[in-house]
Amino acid sequence: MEMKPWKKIKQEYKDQWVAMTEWEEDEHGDVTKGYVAYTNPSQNAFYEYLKGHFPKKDLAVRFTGKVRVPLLFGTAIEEA
Amino acid sequence: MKVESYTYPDSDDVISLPGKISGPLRSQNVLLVFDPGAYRTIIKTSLTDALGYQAGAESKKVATSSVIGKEYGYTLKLQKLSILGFAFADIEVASFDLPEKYAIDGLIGLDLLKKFEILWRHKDRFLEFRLL
Repeated sequence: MEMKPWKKIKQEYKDQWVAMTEWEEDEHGDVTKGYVAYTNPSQNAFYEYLKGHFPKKDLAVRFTGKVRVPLLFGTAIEEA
Repeated sequence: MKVESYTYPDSDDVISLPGKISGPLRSQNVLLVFDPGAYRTIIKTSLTDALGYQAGAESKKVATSSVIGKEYGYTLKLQKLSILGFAFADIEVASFDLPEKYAIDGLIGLDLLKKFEILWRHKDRFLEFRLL
């Protein structure tokens, strides 16, 4: 299987969590191309699947959609 | 003193930094949100679970209040967390079950960011990290 450029992966798997078992990255760690092994639009289902698969296999994981975080994490964390 | 610069993508997404988290089961290349407004670095629980981490005797229960209400989580000591070219071993983070709709694996908060002198020039989408 051939690795695909990240731009193509984003187009092909829109709004999905993508796990790559082989990938190339630039000097910062950004993925430039990769081999897509698994995708799922649900993050929780995606990680649940990863727990039972790819044992001891390093992965690169990205979300291909928009990342929107509201202003909710700008808070202190206290011990509960 | 180690310095690394990073040009983030031209988009209206939040600013994320590439990194790597090593766990008992595997290492994972991830994107983590750059969040100077967060007091502490947070990693989503589904990710820490998948890497093989579990809350242990050293873990503390933690909570954060925000506009979505009160969230509960726990602390974990990660074997290694790397951001750009900077690696931190045995670093404590908070693990929270962040809402899935935000589509993030975690965020880098002040506890890590304060280890750097940071130059941020948004018009050029440029960040420079100098390890203190």
